[in-house]
Amino acid sequence: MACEEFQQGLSAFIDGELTGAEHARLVAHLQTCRECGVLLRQFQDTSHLVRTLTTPPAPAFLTESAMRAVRAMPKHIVEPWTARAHRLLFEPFFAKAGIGAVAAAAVVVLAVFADGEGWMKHLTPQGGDYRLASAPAIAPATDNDFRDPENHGRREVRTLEARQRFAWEHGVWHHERRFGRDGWWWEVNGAWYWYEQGSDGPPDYVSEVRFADSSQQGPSDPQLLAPPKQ
Amino acid sequence: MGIGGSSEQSLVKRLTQGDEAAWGRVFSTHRDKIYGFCLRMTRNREEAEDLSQEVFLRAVRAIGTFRGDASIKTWLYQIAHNLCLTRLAAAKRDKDRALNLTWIGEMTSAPPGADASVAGDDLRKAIELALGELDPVFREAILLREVEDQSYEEIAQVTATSVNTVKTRIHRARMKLQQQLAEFR
Repeated sequence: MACEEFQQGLSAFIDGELTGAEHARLVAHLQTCRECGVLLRQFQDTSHLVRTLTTPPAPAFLTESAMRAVRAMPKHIVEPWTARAHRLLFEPFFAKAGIGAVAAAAVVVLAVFADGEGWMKHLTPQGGDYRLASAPAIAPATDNDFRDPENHGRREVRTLEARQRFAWEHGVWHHERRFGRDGWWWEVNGAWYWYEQGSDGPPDYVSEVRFADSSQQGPSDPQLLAPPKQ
Repeated sequence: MGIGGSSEQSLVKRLTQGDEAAWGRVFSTHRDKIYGFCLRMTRNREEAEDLSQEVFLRAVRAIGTFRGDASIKTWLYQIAHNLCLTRLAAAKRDKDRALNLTWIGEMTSAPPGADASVAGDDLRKAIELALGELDPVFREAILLREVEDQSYEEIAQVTATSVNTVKTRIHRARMKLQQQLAEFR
């Protein structure tokens, strides 16, 4: 093996990332090759120098916004169906039970899908006792303050008060059937807003199709459920 | 975080339930490290602060999707990796930043009580400059290895590459660094 090939392994050598056989070959080569030995010492010195770097402490405010988001989190997150199916199939009980478990898991999965949204009820507090907070209808004319005439009269999130906007931006997407309707649901503190399409971040307008989960203590910001007023 | 599998599972469960104490523990454990990583990747204090905040915010928002394939620490670094490289690629300012030395002041002041054996300011500045001149993917690999003390397997998970790619990147980074720091040896 040429020196160049051994040198490729020097970094992994000092990082302890070579296999036993690779390590032994390199050690044997280093006993006879001065050039590779010099490069190894240079790598070790460089590694030592970089490791002497100190990291400045982070400003405390860095995690303040994240902690506010934690406080705004629903305390019972609805498990997405994909995660639930994955957990049912691979959790230890089924994994240990062999072929019988596969059949059992298949039955469970079929039941889950046959049951529609029923399977989610026990995942939500108090069995998913929902109430219709607002009929999926056009909001009253008094909401005009929040409608953008150039954007199909929708209530834009940017028009919400800062506190409302913060709560809105810390909602969670769910892609599922809920309240008898398939689609994307933006959940904000127990209030559910329906959208035909999801997005990478929060929706930029407030859907007029909205429901409340009555099993929650109630939205921490009720104005988000009722059309906000300015 | 240096905790075992069942402890990690228990932690993840508490995080998904919005347990403030659990999140506080995650933040306090990883805040300095994530910030330091973002700072050395972007070489800009404001951007590092911005990105670090975004890392933790995204973690909170996405904890429901965390499947435990990696540790919480690795997951946070995955988010930081994605944000930093995306920011660098979008801004295309990386080359210009090599000429902007103001960020170095943030890194080269030894903290109070620092070990006397650590490198002096001139040497630290030279190391930071040499790191800054590396291609971002090489810089990232060597930082995760030397500063964050991660294994090749962990670095491969963070950067979504193979262990062999990590091995090559670290080797090339060390080759370039040892050339640039030769005068200090």
